Amino acid sequence: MHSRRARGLIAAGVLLVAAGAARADELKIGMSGALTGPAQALGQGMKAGIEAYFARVNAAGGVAGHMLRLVALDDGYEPARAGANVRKLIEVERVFAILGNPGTPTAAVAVPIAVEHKVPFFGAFTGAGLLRKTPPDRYVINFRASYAQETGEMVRGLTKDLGIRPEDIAFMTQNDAYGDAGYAGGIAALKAMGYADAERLPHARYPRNTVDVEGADAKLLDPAVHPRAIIMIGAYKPCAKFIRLARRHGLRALFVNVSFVIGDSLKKELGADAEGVIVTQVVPPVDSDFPAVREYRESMDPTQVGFVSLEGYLAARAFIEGLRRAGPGADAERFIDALETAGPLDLGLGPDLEITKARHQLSNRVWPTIIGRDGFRTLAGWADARRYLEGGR
Amino acid sequence: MTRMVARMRRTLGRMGQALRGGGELEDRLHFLGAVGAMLFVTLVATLFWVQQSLGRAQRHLVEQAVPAEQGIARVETSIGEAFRRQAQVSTTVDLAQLAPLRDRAAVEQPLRQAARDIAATLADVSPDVAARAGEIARHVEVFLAADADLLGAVERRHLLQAAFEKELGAIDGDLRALVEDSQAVAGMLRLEYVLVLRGIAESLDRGAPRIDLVRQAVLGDVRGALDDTGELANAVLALGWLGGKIGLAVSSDAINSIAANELPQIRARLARLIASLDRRTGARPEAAARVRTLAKRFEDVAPRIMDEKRDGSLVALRRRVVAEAGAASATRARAIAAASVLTADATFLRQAVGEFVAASVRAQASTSTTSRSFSAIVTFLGLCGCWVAGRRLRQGASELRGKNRRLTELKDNLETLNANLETKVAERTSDLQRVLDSMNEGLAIVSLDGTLRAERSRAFVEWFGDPGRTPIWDILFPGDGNQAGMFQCGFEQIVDAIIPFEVAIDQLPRQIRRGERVLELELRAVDAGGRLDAVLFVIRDVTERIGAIAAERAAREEQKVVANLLRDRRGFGRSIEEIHGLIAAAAGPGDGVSLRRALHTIKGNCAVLGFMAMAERAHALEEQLERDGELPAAEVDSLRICFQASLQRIHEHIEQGRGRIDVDSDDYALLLAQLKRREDYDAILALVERWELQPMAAILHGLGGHARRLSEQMGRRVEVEVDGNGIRVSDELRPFCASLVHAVRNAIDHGIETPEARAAAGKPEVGRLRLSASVDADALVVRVADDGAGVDVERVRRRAMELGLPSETRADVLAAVFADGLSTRADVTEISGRGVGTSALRAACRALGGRVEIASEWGRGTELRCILPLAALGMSGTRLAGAA
Repeated sequence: MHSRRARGLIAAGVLLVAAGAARADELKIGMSGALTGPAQALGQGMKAGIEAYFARVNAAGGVAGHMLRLVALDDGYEPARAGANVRKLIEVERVFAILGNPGTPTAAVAVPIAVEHKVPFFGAFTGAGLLRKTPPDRYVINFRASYAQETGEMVRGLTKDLGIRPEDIAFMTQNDAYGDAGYAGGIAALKAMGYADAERLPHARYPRNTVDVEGADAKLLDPAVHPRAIIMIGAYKPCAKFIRLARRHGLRALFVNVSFVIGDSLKKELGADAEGVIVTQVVPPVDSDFPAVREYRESMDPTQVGFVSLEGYLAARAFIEGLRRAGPGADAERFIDALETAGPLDLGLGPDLEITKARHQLSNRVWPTIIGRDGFRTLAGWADARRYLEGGR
Repeated sequence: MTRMVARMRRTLGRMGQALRGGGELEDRLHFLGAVGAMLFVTLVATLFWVQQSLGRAQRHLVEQAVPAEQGIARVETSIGEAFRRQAQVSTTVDLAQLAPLRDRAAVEQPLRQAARDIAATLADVSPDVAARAGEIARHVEVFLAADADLLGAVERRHLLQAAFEKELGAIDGDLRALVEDSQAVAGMLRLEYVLVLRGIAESLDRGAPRIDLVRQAVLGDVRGALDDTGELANAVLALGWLGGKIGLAVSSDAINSIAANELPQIRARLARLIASLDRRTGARPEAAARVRTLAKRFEDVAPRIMDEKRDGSLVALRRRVVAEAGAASATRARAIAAASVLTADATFLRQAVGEFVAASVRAQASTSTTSRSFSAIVTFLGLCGCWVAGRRLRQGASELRGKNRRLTELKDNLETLNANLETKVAERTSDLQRVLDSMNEGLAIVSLDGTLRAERSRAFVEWFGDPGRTPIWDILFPGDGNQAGMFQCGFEQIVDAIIPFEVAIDQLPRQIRRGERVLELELRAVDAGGRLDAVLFVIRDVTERIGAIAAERAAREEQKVVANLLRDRRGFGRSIEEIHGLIAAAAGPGDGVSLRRALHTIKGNCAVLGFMAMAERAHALEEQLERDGELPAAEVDSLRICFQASLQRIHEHIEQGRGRIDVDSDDYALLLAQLKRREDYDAILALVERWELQPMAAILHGLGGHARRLSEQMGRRVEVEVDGNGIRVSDELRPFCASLVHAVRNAIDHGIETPEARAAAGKPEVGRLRLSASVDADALVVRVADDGAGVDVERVRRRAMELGLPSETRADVLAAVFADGLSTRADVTEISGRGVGTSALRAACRALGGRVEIASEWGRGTELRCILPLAALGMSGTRLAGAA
């Protein structure tokens, strides 16, 4: 405990020095995310995770003679502000890369700017397909699995492991690119398993940046539909409200959320209603035994330990590994070239993490977790959640 | 002045005469010149006038027409440019596009400058042109004012448009929020309705349908309220669409229509729907609160769209945009009108300038015609003048030819006379040459620049060939630049005549060598008019004469040497060997002192033996050594060569004497007597053995002869006494005997005074030199005594003190005489020669274990005693004394 606090102090000292900004050997890395507003947990969590890893690297002498500094700007989860922020980061702050931007609609604006300026857009906190083109954008590198992979995994688990019929699945999505991305992934997975009428499944939507979910609840509470599992692509507040309302009015179904919902925040928001809610994750549980996660737990302020900050931490770790591979004095081009040709990166998360010219995504894994009485628990398999299904109709 | 007038009159008179056909050739040439000059002046004047006239026209063109033309072109170009900009300004859609067009300097400055230039250049052409040119500036200002107004109007329009679009964006966001609000209310209502339906469904499942719920579902107000929310959302969308329509309206009529019809209608509809919703949701707090939010939002946004009195409302802003657009097109029309006025000005001025240019060109053409006619007249006159002058010249030339013919005849006569004269001169010259050729001397006359004149004798040509222009010094000393240079200096001294001719020629060499020949030069001045004109070189071949002199000298020397040889054959032979030894010593390694001694001794001995050439050579080397401090080995070797040459001449005599022992008649008689007396064998043996020894008397006689010759040379008179006491000495005393010559030379050179000095001192004029040998006690004593001046003790003392030698007692001072180098300096030469002789003598004595003593008395004479102990000599006194 002592040593951790001491390390925290050292890290804080390094950050103070780095904040001086007058250092010639300083390497600036940019980030634009929601640091305020309903989605602030996303921005704050990513920022905390990235800065924790940067502090660790800087304390060890930096990378190739450079001290790292994260320049984080607040966009309040608004695409227009995100665009202005990314322009400022690239044109004014002259950042080397954009790292860990959370959000899909904001990425829809930010990615074209970064690509136009040939600045790496690394490890964004989004699983949206627009960052996962085929062939990939040269300057866009993802850390996490896509929403389609998450929803695909949900569909697979719900139908194969839990034996739920496809027609008993419903969707609740945010009315924007994020919601659409998750929805499309789920539909595609259902179709892939031979269910042609996927589009006719119940699908409720709610407006972004609101908690106006009554309409969505009304749609799925309608006695004409009786879903046994609801795949939810949304933010944690509206999702929590949706679940609470649905449960209050007698909807017995599995609520399955994608990672973006931020399991911790959702759990906190739901309180007593949280039990049995499933959240898929694209990073391992924070108490797992991967070397990288152990290191994360050591580096992190305990109050900030969570899925988001872990993703920020791991994305930063992958980014720094890329910088090391590129060598001293590297520019963006050498950085990308190094990543594309380096082979598997050892990030302490298992062997499958590799960037190639054809695939700009490091991790493909999805971890289903469930909120039990004691908090989050990783599902050994989807069948593990059957208990919560029995309560349904 | 009068002279000038007279001259002019004379010239005119001559010209008149020339015109009439008379006068001299000179006059005719004058005339021709005058006509030419007049024509030339006329042509130049014409040319000047033409140039002046053309230049004026040109200047008008350059200074007025061309700049005016350029100015007009600039005005037109600038107007075109301004129109292009105006088109750009009018078609811009926002301030960003307008920004690069705001700077109007590029339009204003060229236009104003062009107008000023036009007014300035055309100010003095004609009054109406000047007035029109002045007008241009005013018209330009009118155009520029319209241009500036256009920019202002467009700028204001863009500002308003930007404000409109910003407000439209904000309103759009609010309208979207209104839709969301209505949808949220709708969601709440729908949830409520669905929950009722769920209740019915559940009651149906239970088999006990709930009528109350069915009634609520069928008769409740939820569906009506839901309809309201749907209609409300549609109305809000319509309101948004109207906002866009206002933005697209291009006339105030269109705006009036929207503001008067559609906007109030939709506002009323929205207000009605909100009121209805408010009423229907009254019992549902959550929905009611949301409806209130919606109503408030609507009350805020509606005036921002349609309130005419609000400055920033969409309608008001759009009206102003449309108004500014109208203003801009009006201003554009104004600019076009102003531009057409300017174009009319430009057209008028261009026409005026064109006329002006045409007038200038016409003036130039007429000037050219006039000048051409005038030139033709002048040329014609010139040709006439030339024809007349030519005729006159031809006449003059034929007269000249006549005169020339007469002159030629005269010249022929003169040439005949001249030829006779030349023949005579040639005869005389050949006579002279014959005289010159018959002479044995080389005769040549040398000009003051050193070159030879033509006259020279056959002998000269034989000796020197034909020298051409070679200067005399290079003829006399070919290939010897040094000698030639010195001779040239001497010759130039003669030519300069600064010193008398006789003195100057004394400095030139009298003899030169020419191969085997020795030639003697004699120079004589050849004067002309009291000044040196040339130098006559008379050159004689004196080779034979010089050869004869040398031969005679050699013969004399040989004779003397042979005489010495014959007198003491054995002694002579030993002396020769000794000299060989000295030469070898001189050539060998050794210090300066030993070399000096060797040379000195060689000199003395050769002189004693009569090898005068050899003695001179040794002396010369001594001099050289004294001067340079060292001698090259080759010089020392030359001594050996010289000596061998001398010996070669008396070779036969020497060979004759080799292996012979001379016995004088006394010894012979003595031997004979002893033999007759049958004396003791040992005595006879001793006697015969002695014959091999050298009689001291002979040695001393030789020295005495040398002393006599020396004294003759030096103008002294001396009587030499010799007393050998019958002593004979072995060969080992030869070096000592040789060095005795120094003592003898010193006695003659420094001891015996001149006869005059002796007479003055009260002494007999003939000095006495006594050379004796004796055996005293156990030593051989050789004395050299003179009755001369004696040693100047004081001078020697000073010298000895300078050298740091002991000098306290008289004996010390006298001993110093024998010191090496005591008198190497010139100031003591008179008492002790070079200081070499005495020291050499002392060295020779010491080598034999003996010593030298000196006794001297000032004014009375000096005696040197060489004391050689017999023991050291390794011989007995009896043997030395012999028969004495």
